[in-house]
Amino acid sequence: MTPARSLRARAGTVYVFVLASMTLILASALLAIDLGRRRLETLRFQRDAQRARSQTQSLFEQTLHYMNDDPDGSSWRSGNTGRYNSISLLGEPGVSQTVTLTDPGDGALKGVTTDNARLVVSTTAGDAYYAMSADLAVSSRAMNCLDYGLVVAGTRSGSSPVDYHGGTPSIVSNPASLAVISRTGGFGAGTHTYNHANGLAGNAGLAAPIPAGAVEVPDGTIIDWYTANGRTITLASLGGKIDKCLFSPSTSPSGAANARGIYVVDCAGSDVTISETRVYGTLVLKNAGSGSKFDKQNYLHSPDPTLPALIVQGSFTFDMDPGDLTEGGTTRNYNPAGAPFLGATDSDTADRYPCMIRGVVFITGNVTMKKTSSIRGCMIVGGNLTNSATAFLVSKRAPEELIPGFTVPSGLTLVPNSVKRQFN
Amino acid sequence: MRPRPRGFSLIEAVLASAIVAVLASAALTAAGKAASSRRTANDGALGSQLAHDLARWIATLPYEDTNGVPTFGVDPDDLAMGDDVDDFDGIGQSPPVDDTGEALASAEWSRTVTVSYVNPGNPTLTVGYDTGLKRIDVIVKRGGTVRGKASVLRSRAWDSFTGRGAP
Repeated sequence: MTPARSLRARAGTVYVFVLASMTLILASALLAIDLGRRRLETLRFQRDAQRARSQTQSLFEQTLHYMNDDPDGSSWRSGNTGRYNSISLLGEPGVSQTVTLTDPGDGALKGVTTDNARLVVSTTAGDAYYAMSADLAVSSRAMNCLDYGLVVAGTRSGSSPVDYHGGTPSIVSNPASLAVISRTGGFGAGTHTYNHANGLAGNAGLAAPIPAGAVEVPDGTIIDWYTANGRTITLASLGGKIDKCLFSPSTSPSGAANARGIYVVDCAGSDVTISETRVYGTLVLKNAGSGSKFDKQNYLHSPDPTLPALIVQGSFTFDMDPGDLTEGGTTRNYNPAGAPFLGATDSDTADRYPCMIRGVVFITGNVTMKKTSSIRGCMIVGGNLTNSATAFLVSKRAPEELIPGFTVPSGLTLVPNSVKRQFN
Repeated sequence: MRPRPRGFSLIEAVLASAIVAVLASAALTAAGKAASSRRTANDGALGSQLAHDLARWIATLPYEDTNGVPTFGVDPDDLAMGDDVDDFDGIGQSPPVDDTGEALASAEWSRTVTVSYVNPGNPTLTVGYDTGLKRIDVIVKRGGTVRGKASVLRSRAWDSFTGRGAP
């Protein structure tokens, strides 16, 4: 064998050795690089997950801050869904965030300020995702109109005095707008004593200063809740008038009784006269004609402290006669089973009832006071008041419970067990 | 006849060794860089975790002291330090410890906390008065080098919503 042939034979051995070494080294390097890359990806994801969680919590807190400052949602209930996208709230690079507000009930976030709201905050940081959601309920307080014996949202006229009992604050009138309270005179500081089996005694003038500030009064939509929760009766089914009737949780002058004693009489624009009637519950006159009125003697009182005595959608005249509502005079029993008076029920026609309204009264339109009227509670007039009564007694009794429609949002609370988290 | 030569010639051995040496050197260099990168990544991950864990833990505390008149910082009537968010303002730890005092990292590590009132419209801006929103900033260092940072907001609103600490 020549030397040249010997070298050619060994050349293959070198090639295989070098190739094998290179392959081993490259494989090891690629394996190490891949393991390192996976480890780095894991660490990066862990960091992104931490950032996503902290950023979500931060945006959640910031949104709660804004919502709590505006509990009735005048800013964040601007649409049926509230949503905005944000780059990182705190300037974190590579982070995007989203806030969504919805109504978990009917989906209509806009409009009803007492509906719950669902807040969802989500954050994406790299491949990490973190979301938090919670339902927020609107807590309420009583409208401050219930702090007064008589509130007139419009103007008032008439020279007759209003006899006011019940401490301060007393009577307010707001001839300009609901935002500014002013008193221009006309309400007399009368002295009056009223004694009755279920009445009161004492007097108070108008010495107390009229407090400044906005007075909150309901609007016409208040009737919707009572329509939804009460029994609606057409005026025609009552013969076009409410005369010698008894409304109670167990007695209805037409059709089935409403267990809460809420009766909505749909007047369809017609005038209605209420006379010699006892309402042991809540009477709502829907779409009452402008000539609607009280006549003779009537006694209205809701046994449920969370409900008003009378709501009138429209204008109304108080033209009640002095004296008591008597069963003997009407030959009608007004305190059968389910409608006790002073804790007693019977089947006779020998009882007498004070001619008065005990509880909250709300008239959306104008009110005319004539003859004698006694309101032991709060009277809110959405329109104007004309007072020509010979005796108009207001004895303030602020309700101790929240009354539907007479509340305003006061803050937000977290619905228990509604906080949810989602992450990858 | 002369016997057939066996094994490598000198030239072959030198050539093969040179190639292997070059490759090994490259591989070792890459491995070294990978190790360094991994150590940095590990430090970053640990630093981030130490920062975020503490920031979120502080955020579970009440927005402000509920005993007496709230003051920013440690309240005079606090029975123990750390019963509300701003009690942790200015706190430094080296090494970082958990709430039982157990060290979470070596003594090279440290973390500091700053609590500030912030502008609700732009929480990156601190202000000198109570806005109802506080920012908790935690910075974690190893040997003087920042290895992790975390910021978490805390609102008074959450306390009024729940009467409890943060979500």
